[in-house]
Amino acid sequence: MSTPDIELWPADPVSNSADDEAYTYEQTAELMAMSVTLVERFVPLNLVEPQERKLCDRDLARIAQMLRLRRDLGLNWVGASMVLDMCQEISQLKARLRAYGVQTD
Amino acid sequence: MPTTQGFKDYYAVLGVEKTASQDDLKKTYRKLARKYHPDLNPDDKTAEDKFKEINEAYEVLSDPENRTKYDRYGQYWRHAEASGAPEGGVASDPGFDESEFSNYGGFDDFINELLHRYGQGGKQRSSAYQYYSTAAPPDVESDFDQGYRSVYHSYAPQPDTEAAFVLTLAEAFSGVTKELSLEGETPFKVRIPAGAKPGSRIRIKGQGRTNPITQKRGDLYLTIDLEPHPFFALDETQNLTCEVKIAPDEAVLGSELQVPTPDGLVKLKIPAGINSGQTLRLRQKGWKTQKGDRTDLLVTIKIVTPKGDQLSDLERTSYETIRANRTVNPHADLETMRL
Repeated sequence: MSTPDIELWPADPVSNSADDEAYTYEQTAELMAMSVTLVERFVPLNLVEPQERKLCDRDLARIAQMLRLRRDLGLNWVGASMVLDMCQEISQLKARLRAYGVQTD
Repeated sequence: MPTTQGFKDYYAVLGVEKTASQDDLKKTYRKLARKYHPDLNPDDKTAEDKFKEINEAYEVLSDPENRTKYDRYGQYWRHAEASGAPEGGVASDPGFDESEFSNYGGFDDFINELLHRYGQGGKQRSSAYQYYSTAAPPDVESDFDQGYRSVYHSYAPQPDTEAAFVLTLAEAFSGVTKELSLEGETPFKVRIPAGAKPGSRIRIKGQGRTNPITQKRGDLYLTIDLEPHPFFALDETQNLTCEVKIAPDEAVLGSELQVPTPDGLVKLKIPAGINSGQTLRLRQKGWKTQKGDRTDLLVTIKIVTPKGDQLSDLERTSYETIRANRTVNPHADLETMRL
């Protein structure tokens, strides 16, 4: 999960502008229907990157995806997180190809 | 897919023969699940639908008991069991009385009831395998069994939305406002700040897809690329570079040139005795940095030797005079060199 160089608000503010919400491990566990222990296990594995024991929206979406990849395809946690990283990289590359007018499909 | 009145041929969905073994079925299912998994095919609605179909088919066929019934009764296999239909080959009978099933909204209801996901029958969602990639779970309260509402089972949050722009050097240098339109969304304007470099990642808050868990809009990530420029280029340290060609006499005697920079022409003094490949640095005339600073413009000198037929008579005699009177011999030590 690469950190962006620049963070911007859209030039025309359109939607909600609430700042990034943070979730405690307990809230995350509750929302994801999983155990707090499991959330805590994700941290040393670098599967999510909490800021002071708080997770953001992106982390939550990532956890949901990892849970599903594990359930549906039998991936382990590290494998699922690698898959997601690669998917992100692919969609980045696809976006760049599109910007150059290359058909990606 | 092969269908009559919503009838799905599960074998065709999985692409296996009716005689396929449970093992083959499992193998094929796993292969297809990997291929069409919605998390691996973001933004691809057909893959998602396909994934649902595969799961529905596999859920039925993977259970030997259900598979036998499905083989025997075809699309009515579920009902055959529910109504205690006699064992026997009615499956392929097209005249099988459909009126008995009027209490079901459709075949899907059989499935849903079978899987105990939606107890009520009636008008229901169309797939046994509920998996949404849409922004929000549609009508969560009315459609979902409360016990079946974990994120994990329901809808797929999309990875971050990605987009990219190719900017000219001029646009990137001074900053530019671009309109971005994602498929199916209203276009919006993005102001790209001055000094973007190739591969810059910009996070635009609140312009991505809606996060289904928190119901807030995610972020959009923008990658910047730069079009190559005929004269200027950017190096890894964000210095602006360019190449200036000079004649041999300018190299020997030194010279003064007007060199283009982002701020217009600037006088560049070329010191006497410069060599090809040497670089001159114009401080603060390079790229803009995020801090509001400027990097340097690096001018690489290339000495261009005139070809014989480009020389005038005077030039030629001048060069011949130089040769006759040369005191410096840069290749004096050549003969002493050994491997």
